[in-house]
Amino acid sequence: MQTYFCLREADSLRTGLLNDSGLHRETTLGPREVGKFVPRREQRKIPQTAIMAGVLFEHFQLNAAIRDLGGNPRNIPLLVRNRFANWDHVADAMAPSPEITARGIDSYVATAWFPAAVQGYLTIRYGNMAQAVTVSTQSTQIVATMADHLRLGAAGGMAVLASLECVPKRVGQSPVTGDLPEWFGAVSLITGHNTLDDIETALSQHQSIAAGAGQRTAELA
Amino acid sequence: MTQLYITAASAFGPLGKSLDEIWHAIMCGKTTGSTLHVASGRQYMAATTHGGHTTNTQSYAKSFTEGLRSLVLDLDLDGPVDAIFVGTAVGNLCKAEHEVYVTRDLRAEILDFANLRPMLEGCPGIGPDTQIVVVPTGCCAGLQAAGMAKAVMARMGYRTGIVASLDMGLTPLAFEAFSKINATADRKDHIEGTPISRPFCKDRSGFLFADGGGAMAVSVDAPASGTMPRLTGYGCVSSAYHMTDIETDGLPIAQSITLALADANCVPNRIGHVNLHASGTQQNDTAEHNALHATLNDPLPPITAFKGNHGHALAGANMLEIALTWKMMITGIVPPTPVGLAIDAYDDVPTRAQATKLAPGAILKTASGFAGIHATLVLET
Repeated sequence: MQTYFCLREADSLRTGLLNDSGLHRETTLGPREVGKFVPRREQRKIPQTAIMAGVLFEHFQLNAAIRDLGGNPRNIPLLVRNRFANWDHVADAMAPSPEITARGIDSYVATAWFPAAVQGYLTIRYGNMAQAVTVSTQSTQIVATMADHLRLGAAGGMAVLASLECVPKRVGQSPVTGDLPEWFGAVSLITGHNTLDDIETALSQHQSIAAGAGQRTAELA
Repeated sequence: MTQLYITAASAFGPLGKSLDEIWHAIMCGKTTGSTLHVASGRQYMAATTHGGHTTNTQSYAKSFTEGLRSLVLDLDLDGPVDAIFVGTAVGNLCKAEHEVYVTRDLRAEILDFANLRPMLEGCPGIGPDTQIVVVPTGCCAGLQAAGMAKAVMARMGYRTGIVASLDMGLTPLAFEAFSKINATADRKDHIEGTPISRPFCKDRSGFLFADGGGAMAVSVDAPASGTMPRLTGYGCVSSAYHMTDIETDGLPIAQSITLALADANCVPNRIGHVNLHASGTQQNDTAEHNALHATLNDPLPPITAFKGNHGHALAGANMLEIALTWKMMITGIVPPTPVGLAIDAYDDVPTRAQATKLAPGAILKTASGFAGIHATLVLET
């Protein structure tokens, strides 16, 4: 199974592909290149997780990969693992004063803040009408079983399994503290040939990417 | 065919602190909602579980934890379940937002949607081995949580579970976010002396923002004797249309209904009742009405739409409405239309002046959410 990943580094995104034989095609994308994949005017309406998802799909041409593997990008189940709301979208708008916060809320907060923004962004952008679901849990087994369930009956026995989490260092004047992932995105394409164990392995790989964001990606392979 | 037996249900909302209290209020046709003064200094229409709240965010900050615990405790379970599946739109926003307003550190565990175990500590239904799964997909997250429980419980060897959904989202941030996109009922459109939440009324003008939630205890095992309400079908699709708008032709909703019927191995003429999402927006009602005509036989079966009573608690509304539907199934009674609602948008969706007997057959439950998600459950006895 191939896993495509994306890590935030300053104002750039480091992308790469992990497969059974290791790490391939590591590339760093600057703001201009990111803007080619997700236009700047759109970036202000969506959270970082959605931007990362869009970059992964465009940079790695994932819809073409889905077709090559026998799936249908317009009807492929999507499971997103994300434990956090997209606080990055309101981090600067929020303040100790609720009144000032209310003034800073724009018309995209209602859709950009909630964790399912990514599944909405991907399904709408690519006209994908299959079931999409976002899950927050510590249980890799449950996520894997759900992903396996979703791909049954889908074209080519395929599903998209994604993990994306981006939590800012600060919201309003409050620092965000504790055990947080780096800003990361990972997408694996599950095919009819993959087993439940393969899916669990992919999810573990996603978690390794999140935990190892500050490390060299070669160590993750 | 996998199915889940519903062994108990619980709920709380603006009309009551327990499922029985809410049921009693709904049987009397009660409605609720008023103008709330919020900590931001602004005023919004809302239906709340917290009385005169919400100028003080501190008093509301614990409401998600307290609400979740009450839902689980009210199920009156003897021992821990194997897994709990919780749908929510905003999770513990009330706590996190308060932390920002008092300029305290925002701890990761407050922001983590999956971190429900500390909130549920000491609840008899939750043990150290109970798996916790949260589905944070907005206003049909409760149905998606139920669909997920149905999909994975038997496969994973789980015998018992809880499916809950809960939202305590009446915060300055959420009020203003929904207001900015004109999704919520507006004070200037309100007709004095009439219910604020007006699904399936010609003059509906947006949803009445509310809080609350519901839960059901489920088992994969059939009862030793007798019958029991059960979840037999689930269908879910993405509309791929718009983050907030719904296609008024209702085709994606119809697709979710068709998938749920197929999953339940149920034909349309076996549907005896429909409990709709019915948020009270023009788009939603038109889409759901068209979807019913596309999938069910004429005349349409009787319909209930509980948001007319107590507004829209986002994902929390899902299980609150399913708990009330469970109540209909065990009592065999369909509550009347809320007092004061005209229900005049469509000729074939009439008012129901008095409670009636629940028609035999299966029940459809629909829900739709931002990001273009539509889900349907089939419930049968």
